[in-house]
Amino acid sequence: MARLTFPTPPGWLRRGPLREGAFRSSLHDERTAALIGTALGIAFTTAFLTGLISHELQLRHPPTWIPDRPVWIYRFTQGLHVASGLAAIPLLLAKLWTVYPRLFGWPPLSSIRHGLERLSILVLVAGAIFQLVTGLLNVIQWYPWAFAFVPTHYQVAWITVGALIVHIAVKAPAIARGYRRPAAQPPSEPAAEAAPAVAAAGEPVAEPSVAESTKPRFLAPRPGTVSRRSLLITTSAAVGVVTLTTVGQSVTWLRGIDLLAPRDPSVGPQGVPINRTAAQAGVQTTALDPGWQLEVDGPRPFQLTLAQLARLPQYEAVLPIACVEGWSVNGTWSGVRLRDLLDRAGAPTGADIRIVSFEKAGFYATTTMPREYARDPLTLLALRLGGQPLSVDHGYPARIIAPGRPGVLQTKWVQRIEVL
Amino acid sequence: MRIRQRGLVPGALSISPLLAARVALGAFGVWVASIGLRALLRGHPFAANAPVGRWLIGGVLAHDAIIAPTVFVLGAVTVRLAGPRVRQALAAILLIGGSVLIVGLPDVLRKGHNANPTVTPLDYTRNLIIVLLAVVGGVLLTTAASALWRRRRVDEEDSEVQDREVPETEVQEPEIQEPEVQGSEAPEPEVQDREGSESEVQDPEAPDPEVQEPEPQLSQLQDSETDDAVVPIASTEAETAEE
Repeated sequence: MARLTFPTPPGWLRRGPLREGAFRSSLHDERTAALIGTALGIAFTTAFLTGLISHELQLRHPPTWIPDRPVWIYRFTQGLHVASGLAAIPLLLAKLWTVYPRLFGWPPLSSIRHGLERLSILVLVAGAIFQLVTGLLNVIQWYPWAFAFVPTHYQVAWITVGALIVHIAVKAPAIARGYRRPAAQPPSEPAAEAAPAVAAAGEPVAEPSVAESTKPRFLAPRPGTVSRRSLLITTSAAVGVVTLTTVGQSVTWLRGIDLLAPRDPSVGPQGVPINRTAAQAGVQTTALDPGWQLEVDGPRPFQLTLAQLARLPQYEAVLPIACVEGWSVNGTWSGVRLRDLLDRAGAPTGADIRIVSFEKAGFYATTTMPREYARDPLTLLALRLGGQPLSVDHGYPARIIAPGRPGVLQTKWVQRIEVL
Repeated sequence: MRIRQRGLVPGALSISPLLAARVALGAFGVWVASIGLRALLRGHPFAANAPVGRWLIGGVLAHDAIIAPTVFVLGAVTVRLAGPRVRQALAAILLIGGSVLIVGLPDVLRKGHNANPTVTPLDYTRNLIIVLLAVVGGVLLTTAASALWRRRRVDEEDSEVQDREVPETEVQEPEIQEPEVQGSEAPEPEVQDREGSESEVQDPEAPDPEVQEPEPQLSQLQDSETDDAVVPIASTEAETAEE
């Protein structure tokens, strides 16, 4: 390990939050940090894994390990992604409060190893805050920054989780102590001022600052003004309140209390929210063009008007529309099975397809659909939602709805289906 | 080679399996982070990452220089002004209410700014006020209820509180096989294990409240604040024992 140690800065620099005992609560200890850190680690791991699933599903060739059943699988994983991110907000606040005194540990830098450790924590904290802030704003489609959200959120996720793994490796002994030891931390070393070398991250346990003037030699961590139990209950309550007031956007039976959810799953045309309106997509007039015809390319290409499509065998499927922003709701869709259209065009069963919208600029105006979804009996070219013709915001005259796919891939305003 | 030999000097550094596992885990973490970092830096000039960098650092500054100092100053103020029960309630309101505010404020600020009316469709100003009032009300009710309950319990168990200052020492076992972990020499103030006695104790040497104890005894907190100095000192275990 790094033998190189740095000199300790002169003591008179040790002022304000840097002075010994500046933080009084006994809850800045290993046990509290370990317990809250565990919950936070679980929340971040959940968000990371569900985020990976969402990312993979949006690749041109989604990996086969992500099943397309149950039909609500993406609804579940993405709802969980957003919920775990929101739940991580109070957890991160509590965790950072617990370890905040360590920011002012003395000496600030004792060795290269210590410097690397502090750097890894900077990366972790920066990444964690970044992920939660960008995610929180993305769910309301607010982008007050000059970078692309999707790739950046994804890349910083890897950096953050990497830093989290490093953090767990570095702190493993402290975590183990935190779990093993039922008592609060031992008080900080009174001799630390004279011999500060002990700890790269010596326990900066709290002590009373009111007693500053007398500088007692033996400073016990003052019994916190808040007990650990109370802090943990409070943190859990914060997680509960944040979750209950937002999760109704994906857990429909809780939508009565989704006071702070950016979406209400019942608010929208035909009772279903939308991610991109016809006006935003610039298709308000083209969508209503009576001359619209669906084009299906393939060995036996054909075109069908809306009336002709409506005369083909119609199927009904109850499928969720589930958005990357976390909201989701079931809809009763009806229309023509995609596989029937592909058979009619003579498409081989092993072919992937491309769906082209007449939406012009959108990032998702063109979607590639793997054969598993294209041949799924539940995948529809939907003409109706809830028994009514699609509203123009829902993709009139025809849209794709398939099980287990992110909402952005459920292409609206379909113009053409191509066999690849 | 020389490095290896130096590492094998008896007593200087012997790599335990646990340390090896930690090093491997740390290396894995660095590799995971490098995936994201390489992807982030790929495909455009380095300077193009400035906005990402600003938001990364900005978040840290917002917390470490604004949010956290505010919270700690508030805490310091209430320590002087209020009793433990009030402080506990205020802390709960601050954490729960603060979380709610962070989650709800963007909705309030962006209400009506999106051309899509199904985004932020609710009356968030009203809803945020409702939730915050509910948080305050819930915390105050809980505090009052538990205060009543505690008072009753304290009366019942008063006699058992007596032995709470009796310290005991325990040999701390080292958690890893590293040379500097010599915690075994460090006497550790130990906890009274007896079922009955710990329930009222809130001093730092007490067993962790959430493990054995149904409810922290705040009324005891007030007592123990006056007698910190009675608590025996324990030596600090070197946390970063690898040095």
